[in-house]
Amino acid sequence: MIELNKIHQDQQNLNQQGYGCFFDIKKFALNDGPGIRTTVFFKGCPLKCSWCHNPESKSFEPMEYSITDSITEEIKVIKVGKVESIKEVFATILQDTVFYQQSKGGVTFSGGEPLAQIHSLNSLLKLCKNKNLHTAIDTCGYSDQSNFEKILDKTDLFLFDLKIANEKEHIFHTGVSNIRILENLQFLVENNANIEINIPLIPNITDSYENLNALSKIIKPYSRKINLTLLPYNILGKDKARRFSIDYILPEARPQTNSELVKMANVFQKNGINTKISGLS
Amino acid sequence: MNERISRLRKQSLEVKPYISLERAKLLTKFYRTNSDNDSIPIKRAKAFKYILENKEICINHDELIVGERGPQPKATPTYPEICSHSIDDFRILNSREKISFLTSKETMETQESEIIPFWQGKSIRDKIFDKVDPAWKIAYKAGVFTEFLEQRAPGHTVLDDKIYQKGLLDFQVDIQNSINKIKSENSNENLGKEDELIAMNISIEGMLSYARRYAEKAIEYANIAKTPQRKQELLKIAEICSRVPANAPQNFHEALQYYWFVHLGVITELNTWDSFNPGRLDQHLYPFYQSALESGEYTQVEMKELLQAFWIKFNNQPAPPKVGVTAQESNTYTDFCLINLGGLTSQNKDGVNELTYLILDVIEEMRLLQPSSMIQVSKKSPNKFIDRALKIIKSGFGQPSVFNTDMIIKEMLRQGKSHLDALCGGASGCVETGAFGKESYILTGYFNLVKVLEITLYNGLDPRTNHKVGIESGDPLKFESFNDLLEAFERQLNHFINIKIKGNLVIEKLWADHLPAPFMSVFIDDCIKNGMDYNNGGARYNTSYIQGVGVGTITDSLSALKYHVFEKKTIDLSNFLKILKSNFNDNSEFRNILLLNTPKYGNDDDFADDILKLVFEMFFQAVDGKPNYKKGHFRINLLPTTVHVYFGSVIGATPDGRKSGVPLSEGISPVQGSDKFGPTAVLKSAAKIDHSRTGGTLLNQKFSPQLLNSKNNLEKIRYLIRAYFEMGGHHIQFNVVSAATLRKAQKNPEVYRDLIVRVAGYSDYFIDLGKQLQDEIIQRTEHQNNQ
Repeated sequence: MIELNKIHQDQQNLNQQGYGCFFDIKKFALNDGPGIRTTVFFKGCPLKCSWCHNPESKSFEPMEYSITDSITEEIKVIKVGKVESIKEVFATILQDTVFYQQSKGGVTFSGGEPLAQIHSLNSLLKLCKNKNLHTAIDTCGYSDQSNFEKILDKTDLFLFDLKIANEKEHIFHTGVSNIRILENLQFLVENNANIEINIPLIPNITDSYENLNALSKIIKPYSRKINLTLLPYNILGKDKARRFSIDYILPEARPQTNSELVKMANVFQKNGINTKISGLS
Repeated sequence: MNERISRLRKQSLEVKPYISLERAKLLTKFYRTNSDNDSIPIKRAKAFKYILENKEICINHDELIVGERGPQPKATPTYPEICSHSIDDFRILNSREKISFLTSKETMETQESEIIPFWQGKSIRDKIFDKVDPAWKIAYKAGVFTEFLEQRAPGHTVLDDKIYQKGLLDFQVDIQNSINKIKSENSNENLGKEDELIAMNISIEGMLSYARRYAEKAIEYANIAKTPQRKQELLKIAEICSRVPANAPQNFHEALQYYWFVHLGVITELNTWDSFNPGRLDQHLYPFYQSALESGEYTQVEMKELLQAFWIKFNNQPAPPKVGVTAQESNTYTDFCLINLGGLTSQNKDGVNELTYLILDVIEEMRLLQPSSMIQVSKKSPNKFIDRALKIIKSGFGQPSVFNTDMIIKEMLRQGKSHLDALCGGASGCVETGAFGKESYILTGYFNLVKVLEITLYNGLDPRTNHKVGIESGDPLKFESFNDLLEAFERQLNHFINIKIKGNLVIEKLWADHLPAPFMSVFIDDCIKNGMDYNNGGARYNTSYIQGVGVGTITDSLSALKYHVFEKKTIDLSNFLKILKSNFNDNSEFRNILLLNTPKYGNDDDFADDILKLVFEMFFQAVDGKPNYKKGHFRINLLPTTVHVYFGSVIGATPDGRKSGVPLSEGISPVQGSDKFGPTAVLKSAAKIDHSRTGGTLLNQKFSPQLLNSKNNLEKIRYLIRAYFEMGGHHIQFNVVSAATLRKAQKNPEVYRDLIVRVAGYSDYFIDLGKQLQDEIIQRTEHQNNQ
């Protein structure tokens, strides 16, 4: 815990000096909000989800991994994550302005957890808003409410993750309680933020009907204000963990079938929640 | 498609192309027996007429649009007055695995005993190689440039709307008026003009008799027709062929048949490169379409069937095979007919109409190699139009390609064309801009920018042969700055461009003097008015293009030299050149640095993209505005067809990390696999050059089918197109095939017979491509969506 605090402290210092720790910047991102977007991935996440599909992004600092090239089978050391200045990152964001304008797209801050580097995030949002760019934040919801307060007026869309309704289960699978997450969601709804809730469907963990029913009850009061997207399971996380030699504790699982997905969506729809399934048109 | 079309389509796909000496024999017989003391244009016209009066008439079972260039579908003529195939050529064509042409024993014997002996030394190819400078031949042999006009005629033009308003009889009146005017002027300048006009008239006579023979044949067949329905159809064909092309067409069917006769005339007269096509077909046919629906003369279903029948006629005519078969330079069955859809009307309004969508349906259903198709997208084009085309593109057969109307117009205005002519123009061949019906815009040859850099790095020497091929542009080891290198490159570039242009002046004159095209001249303004041939500057606009190749490879190569030698100084030039000479043997680490840690074009990185701008500027300045033989100008465009494979084969390892002999980058696409940030970065980089100063650029983007699966993502591709055009891009095309599918096709070609991919400005059957080109297409970056 002391170590984690120290890292947080370093992170804060870095942030104060106009730098952040980033995991990737992806242009022509098509699934992180409206239009053509650039998605900026912050590195480091306070949650430790067993199914994370970017397991190499969890830690708050750049890390080196040995990976095996799939064609040559050579072992290479690659560095994941980079400390970059806010200025540089913003310059990269601006490069695709013409595409944002054409497509009513913009920028999405994702992670890791963008709010964990609130100072950098806030600076980037300010810069984006000065240029009138549409901004979205992809968050796990686990942060001080004061952080959400800071960015509320500069964020056009929150992509808010909900995972497990039961607190104990939540702690078991992600390492943290969900109380704070649910409070933040309520806070955003009360402040009329534009919210889309994402639920990752992890076989036997989040996709049980018991959990989905419970989540549905949580969301129902907000149903007039928010949309829901179900994210079907994919094996990317497992494959990445293999490549980065990260322990992956999730047992073998298969992606949900289309008919299962439709049934799952139905749990929410019958509660009046506008629900779509990612990847199905 | 209905049963008839399905049968005709199947036949067109299955018949093997074969060499037919029908044209060559008739032409030779004419020249051997005709002793009239005629001028060249008149003799050419008489020969054309003789061919049309004596060639076989072919009405295929069940077809609705009639006329074949040879005696049967896929019978491919030769043009011995241009270049004469040797017996070896024929043997190779007959037996080679790809793009083969069956050649019978009888054909070989006739070629040997009749055709070759008569045309030896007389063909334009022989004359060209006789007349050009030794310096031209050295550069040509070294692979610095190619020459289009040594084997194929300077065609590359597209028809406008004039045939839908005038019959050939009306053109004859125009010709007579022009003759009268010339006679009344009695000026020295008019020498030869009367003969040219008389030649045009004779060529029309030839076409009229050809159409008449079709009408007669149709009646003959009608009398023995097996069903009353077919009898009616044949009588209708007879009626149509006796009305058009003599008179202006009265209905949809006549308009298509008229065009087809003109098309056959043009490709029988000469083997024009980038074959003639109807151009803005949805604009031209729309009045006929509307009146047919109003009067009830044709239903939409019937008109669709006629369009499909029309499509099959194009597919029945493979591009004539080359001689001295190198098998690498532009080898394909396709003849580059590019139907234009959408764009703007002559009134500067959105040109998309109901027929546009019907033609898109036809393209989608027919899935044929020929004709190729494109959509013109202007700011005024509706989203619905682009989305309809994207749905076809998504199906992965490489058509239609997508062009920026607003940029095409800007390019033409910069070249001095009138606004009206620009509005009625478009793109043809691969991506080449032209004023349809009013311009001769010939491609003269590809220019190997990367080879020029290699020669510069060896101070004028070609390292492949150790022969001196260029000028001594300076010892590269003495260059103190990147600028010194650039200046040397520019001197070398100007040297070779001047050789190329000088050669073209000779070649264009040879064509003008020896092989006029009076029939095609009838249809291109202002040949009749000027009394001058298409090949002699008779057109309103005359443009000669030189096509730059390898912009990605040269940009990355110069970027690597600038970055590592002159800025980071991680290596000196002498060692760098040694490594290149060894083809990176034992230097895979340095090669990795070149490949992975060096600024590259296609990543929206100004370090590399600024170099592209410099190279572009040098190439543009070297070529643009230089006078050609036909009182027009040389211009540049950036496209490779398939020559980037051949050009790569003559160049050793390059500073960008490319190994010896590997293909160059194609069009203005980045080097295969060097674009790391996806399509937006590629488009940003590509838009940094000023496309309006070209006559066309070619950008290839490959997407995996998964990316285009959802409606939502398809919409984003449309945004991508709009944004690229907003930034001034000329053209973009999409290959939508997964690498896995292509690998399967490579292994089991027989199963993937109809797999069509976008090559570079045109589509081709994947299995017909050479292995190297297949590999290259597989490697082109797939913009997978990993999320």
